Amino acid sequence: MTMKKNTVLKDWLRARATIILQIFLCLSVALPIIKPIGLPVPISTYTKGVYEIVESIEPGSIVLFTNDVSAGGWGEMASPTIAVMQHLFRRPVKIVFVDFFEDSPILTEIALNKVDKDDKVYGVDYVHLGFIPGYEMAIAMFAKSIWTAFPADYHGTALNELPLMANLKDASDFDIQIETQTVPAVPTSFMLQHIHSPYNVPLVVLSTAVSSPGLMPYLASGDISGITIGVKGGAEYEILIKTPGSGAATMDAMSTSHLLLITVLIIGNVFYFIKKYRRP
Amino acid sequence: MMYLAFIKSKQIPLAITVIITIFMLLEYYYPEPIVKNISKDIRDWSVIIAAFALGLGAANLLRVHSQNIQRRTKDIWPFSILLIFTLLLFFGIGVIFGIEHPAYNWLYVNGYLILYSAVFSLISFYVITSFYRAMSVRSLESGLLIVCAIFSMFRNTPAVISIFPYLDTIGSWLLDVPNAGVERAAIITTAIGVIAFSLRVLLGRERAQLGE
Amino acid sequence: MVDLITSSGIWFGALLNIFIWSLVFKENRFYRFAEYMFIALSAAHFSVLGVKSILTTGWIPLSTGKISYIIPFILGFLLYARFWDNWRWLSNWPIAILVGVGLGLGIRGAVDVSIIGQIKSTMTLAVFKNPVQAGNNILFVIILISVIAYFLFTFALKGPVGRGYYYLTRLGRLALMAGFGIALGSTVAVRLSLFISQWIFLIRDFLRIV
Repeated sequence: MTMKKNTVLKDWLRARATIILQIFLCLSVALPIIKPIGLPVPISTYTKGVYEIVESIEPGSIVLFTNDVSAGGWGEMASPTIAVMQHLFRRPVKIVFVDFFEDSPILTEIALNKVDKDDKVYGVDYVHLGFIPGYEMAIAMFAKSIWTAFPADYHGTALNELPLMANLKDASDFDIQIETQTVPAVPTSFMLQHIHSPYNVPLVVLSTAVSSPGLMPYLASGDISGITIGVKGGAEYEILIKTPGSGAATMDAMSTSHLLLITVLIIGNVFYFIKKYRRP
Repeated sequence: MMYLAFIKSKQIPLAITVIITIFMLLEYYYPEPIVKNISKDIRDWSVIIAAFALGLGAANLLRVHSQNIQRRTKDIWPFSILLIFTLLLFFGIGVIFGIEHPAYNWLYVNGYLILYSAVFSLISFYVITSFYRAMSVRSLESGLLIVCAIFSMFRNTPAVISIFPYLDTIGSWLLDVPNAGVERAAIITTAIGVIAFSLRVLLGRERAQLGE
Repeated sequence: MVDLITSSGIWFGALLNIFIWSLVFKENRFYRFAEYMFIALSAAHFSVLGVKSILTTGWIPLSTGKISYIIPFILGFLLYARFWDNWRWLSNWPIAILVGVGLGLGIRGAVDVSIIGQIKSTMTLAVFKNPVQAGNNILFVIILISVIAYFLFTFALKGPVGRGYYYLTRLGRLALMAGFGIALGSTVAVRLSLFISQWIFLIRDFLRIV
């Protein structure tokens, strides 16, 4: 009788394994959000490297911030984008924001509205030029002549009315480039080919976790000076600049959900081997 | 008639592609002023043509879904009405009032952004079931894949690597050495593939862009 | 009024989110509603940006005297000739220009950054510095060569050389599996981070539990 009950229970669980696992996944994410645990977040060498690069940018330098985030990737990339932007606004540097992907201009404005601009004046200390279509063609056009690519900025203001843009003619006028990279349509190799290589502009990439393995050869060769990886990189950066934000808020749930997935992966394989080697 | 047939043929677009590719390459390897000026104009024009191309998707959607409504295609035509209405509304607000208008931002943030993230996050539900059912160690290759995946996932588990830092060290080593070697090989072989494909297009053997 | 607009937006977004996630149970009309809305918003947004870019990058120079910019305007309109069967051939000309520019720039990038840059970096790797770095670099080069060998399908080698080549390609296959494993772990991290961001929106902004 007990054996029959166990078999019925096993069959019931097996039939509903999918929904049970999905409920566990939702709980592993929702519970740490409702009741934060405050698990520690060690800082990786990659994020520390980017922090030190931004911290060592010479005062008065002009930073090119190219935002190529898709709306689908904003949930992951909001954290590193806003954190690095905030760090730049705290430094005595000037920033030019450019977008080469369709979803990015509004996301750049959302990020700019979230950061504390620390008395920096639009048009003098920072400018948002907006979006230009064409991906690689657009980057090539922008690198050769900024004023041809953007006769006006994102808000429609003519470039000759923006003091910051007066002496910026092409990519050689920038001292460093920071790129947020999510979409295959605008890969980092385009930036390397048209901006970094011909004009020797150092490149730092804020990358998604999925793009980061493909960028490691460029990091190893020195083409990329630094990289942050995904939302974890963003959370680490928020800790380094002492301004916790959306990234830090996801870390507890990241830990619990990843642990659940690893456990399920191992348990699935244990069951597989038990089934494979069970005596008939 | 012969001239019209020639103008309509695929030879002219192929010739245009070859000439422009040559100018782009000449600009880089032989940067004389006349070559640079012509290449600059072509490149600047291509950006404007690319801007026109952004509307092709919407135009095609309007065409296809208005046909659905005309034919009253079963189970689809009510959604086609929704699609056309939403498309025209969002487009109208954007063109008339601009993308900085609060109405446009409202639809973008609460509609487009949320929907995009929701669609991408949907896969998480299927990842956990695939990990349970499909990701089994059936061979050396699959075992290696799963072990590397586990170490890669440990790298994104801050709570665990704060207790066992060597897991992060192993994960970072896997990313920096074997993965970098594989990715560099992929970059080089992909680049060779790009050059081979470009040669095929220039020789007229690849005509997918002309609708063939 | 502002609160009403904000909370209506949150309700709208939350409902759309739940509609999309309802696909996990089965395909239903709510999911279709959200799916069609997503397609419409995406296409409209791209079109709006297209119009804005045409005005900024094209119309402003044209209106300030650059008459040559009329050519890309004409070519841009010709793109839409593809919707009429008799005039479809006209749309091949602007596409040919886009393909030509893309090919030219692509070949430059492939040769310069992807091939020469990467090979140069590989050949200048240090093997006589500290032993750990030397070991890593040697392993890196072995994996690089074995994966490139795996993708070589032009000819088949026979005999002892062929056998050695077979083991090299087997090593390449194993290295590829390791790379795919790392990519899988990274992909999981991305999807989970998006999943978590949606839950944060639902719990904090919509349900206001925290």
